[in-house]
Amino acid sequence: MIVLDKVTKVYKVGETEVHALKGVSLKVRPGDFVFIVGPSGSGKTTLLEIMGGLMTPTSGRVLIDGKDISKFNDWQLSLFRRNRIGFVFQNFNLIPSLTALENVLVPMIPEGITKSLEKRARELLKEMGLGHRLHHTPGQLSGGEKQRVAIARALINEPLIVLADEPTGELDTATGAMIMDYMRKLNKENNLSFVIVTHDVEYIRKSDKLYRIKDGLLHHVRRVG
Amino acid sequence: MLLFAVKSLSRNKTRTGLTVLGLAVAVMGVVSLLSISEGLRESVISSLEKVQLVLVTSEDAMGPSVSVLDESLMSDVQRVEGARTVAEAVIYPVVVGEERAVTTPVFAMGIDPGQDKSMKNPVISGGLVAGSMFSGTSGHKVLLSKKIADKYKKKVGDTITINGVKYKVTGITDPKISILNSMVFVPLDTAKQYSGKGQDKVSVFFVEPEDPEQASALARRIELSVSGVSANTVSEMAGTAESLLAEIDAFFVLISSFSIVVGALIVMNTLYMNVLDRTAEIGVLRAMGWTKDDVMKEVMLESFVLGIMISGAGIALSHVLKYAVLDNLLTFPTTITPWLMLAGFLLAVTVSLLGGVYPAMKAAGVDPVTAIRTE
Ligand SMILES: Nc1ncnc2c1ncn2[C@@H]1O[C@H](COP(=O)(O)OP(=O)(O)OP(=O)(O)O)[C@@H](O)[C@H]1O
Ligand SMILES: [Mg+2]
Repeated sequence: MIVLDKVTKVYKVGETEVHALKGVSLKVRPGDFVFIVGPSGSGKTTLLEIMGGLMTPTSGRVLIDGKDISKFNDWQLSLFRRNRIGFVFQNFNLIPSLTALENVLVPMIPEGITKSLEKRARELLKEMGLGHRLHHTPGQLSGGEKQRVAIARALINEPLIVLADEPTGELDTATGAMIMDYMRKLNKENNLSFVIVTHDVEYIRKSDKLYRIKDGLLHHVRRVG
Repeated sequence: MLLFAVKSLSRNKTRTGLTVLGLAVAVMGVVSLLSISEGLRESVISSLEKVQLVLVTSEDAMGPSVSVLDESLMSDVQRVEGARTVAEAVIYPVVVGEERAVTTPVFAMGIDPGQDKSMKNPVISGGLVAGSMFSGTSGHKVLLSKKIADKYKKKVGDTITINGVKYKVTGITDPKISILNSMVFVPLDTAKQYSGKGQDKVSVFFVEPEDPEQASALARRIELSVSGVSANTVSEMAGTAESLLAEIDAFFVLISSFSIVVGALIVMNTLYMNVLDRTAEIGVLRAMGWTKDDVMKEVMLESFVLGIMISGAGIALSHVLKYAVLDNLLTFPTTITPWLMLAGFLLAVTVSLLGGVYPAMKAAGVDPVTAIRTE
C-alpha cells in the first residue's frame, strides 16, 4: 500500500516560490486503478514523481508498505525505483539505439541480465502483442507499439505500482483505448496497482478511483462524468 | 553493461571513429619514439663497448668530424707510455651517389692502410666482410662500410661517386665502432686533398693501448702530456652516448606527455558530447532505477572500450609506420617489442580512462526529473 500524508512541494526559481503541491493525502491499495485529472500546471506530474521516488517532498510523508521514502537519499531512492516502481511516460522515453527487447531489459542492466530475465522480457512483450517486434528499434515501431514496449519495460522489475503520466497523450483515440485496455488487463490479472494521469476522461470507468487536482490540492471525485 | 557501452559508442560512429583515429596517431607517435630510442641505444651502445680504443680529438671539438689536429702531434701521442699503435684519420662530410637529394649525411674518412694494419685489432680492416683494403695513401679507391654498400647496392669492383668523383670499391667493412658504421674510407692523402683541412692536419688519432684494461689511464696520460687535445676511450664515449640517449629519452617523454594530455582531452570531449547528447536518455536510466554509480560505471566502461579500440589501432599504425617509413629512413633498426606494445596499450587505456572521469561525473549528475521533463 502507498500512503501520501500531507505532502507539499515547493519549487524555488530564484527568489520566487512555486507551491506545486499544497498538502496532498492519498491512499493507493493493491489492485487499485487510480486516475488523476486536472488542468495543466496543477501538479499532476509532480505528484507522480514524488510517489515514484524521483524526488522528495518539501514536507509530508510518503509511505510505501509502511516505509517512509521521503527521507531517502539518492542511492536509496534509485534502488527503490529499481525494485518497486514502474514508470510509463507520455513520450515513451525509449532508447533509440536499442531493440524492443533490449529496451525492456535496460532497467535491470546494473543487476546483470540473466537468462530468466531475458525470458521474462520476451514473455512481457508477447503479452503486449509484440512477439513479432522483439528486435525492432523504436524508430521502426508505431506510437502504440512504443508505448506497449514502455509498459513491458515498466513491468520487468515486477513493480508494486505502475505510475503513468499521460500515457495516451501522444496516441490517437483508438490506440489510446487499446493501451488503456492493456493496463486494465494487467490490473485485473495481476492485481497490480496503477496510478494514471490523463486528460482523456472517456477512458475512465465507474469502478475506477478518480481524483481531481487543482491548484496543488487533491479532491476525491465520486461520480465520474 | 559492456554491450550497452559498445552500443552507445556506435551511436555516433563518425565521432567515435575520429576519436579513435586521432588518439591512435598519438599512441603511434609515442610507441615509435620509444622504439627509435630503443633502436638507437642498441645500435650505439652495443657496438661501442666491444672495442677498447682511445680517440684523440682537438680540445673543445664538438665531435670527431669538426676536430682538427696537427699531424706532428702524432709522434707525441706515440711516445706516451702505454700507447701501442697510433693511426691518424681525416673525417669530412661528403655527398655519395649521383643524385643531389641528400638523405642522411655521410662522412668520409681518410686513413693510412699501413697504420691500420699495424694495429693488433685493426679498426677498419678488422671488420672486412668482402674484398680487401686498398693500398697506399692516394688514388680514387674506397672501402665502403656495410651500411653504405647496402644502401647504394654496391659490391667490390663497382664504382661509386663521391663528391662528384668516381671511386673504385676495393672492399666492404663492418667496423665495430658505431660512429664508423655509415662511413666511406678513402686513402689519407686523397682525403686531405678534398677535405680542405690542410696538408699537415688530420681530424683524429686512434690510439690502441698496450693493455686494453688500461685504456682510460692511457687517455688521461695523453691529455696530460700532449697539449691541446682531448682523449676519450670508446667506452667513455659509450658513457656520454648513454647520457645523450637519456637526454633524448627525456625529450621523447616530454613529447609523449603532450600527446597524453591532448589525447585525454580528445577522449573527454568525445565522451562529454556523448553524455550531453544523451542527457534525456541518462535521465530515463536514472528514473528506471540506475544509481549514480551505475551511470558513472557505464560511462567509464565506454571510455575503457574506447581505450581498447585506440590501443589496437595505435599499435597497428605503429607497425605501419615502422615498415613503411622508419625502416627506410633510419640507418639503425627499430623494434616494437612486446613491452612497447604493452606500454602502448596501457597508455591508450589510461588516457581514455582519465578522459572519461569528467564526462562520467557529468553523467552521474544528470537529474532524472529535469531530464525526462525536457524533450
Ligand atoms: N523544476 C521546476 N521548477 C520550478 N517550477 C516547476 C518545476 N517543475 C514544475 N514546476 C511548476 O510546478 C507546477 C506543477 O507542475 P507539474 O508539471 O506537476 O504540472 P502538471 O499538472 O503535470 O501539468 P501538465 O498537465 O501541463 O503536465 C507548475 O506550475 C510548474 O510550472
Ligand atoms: Mg505533467
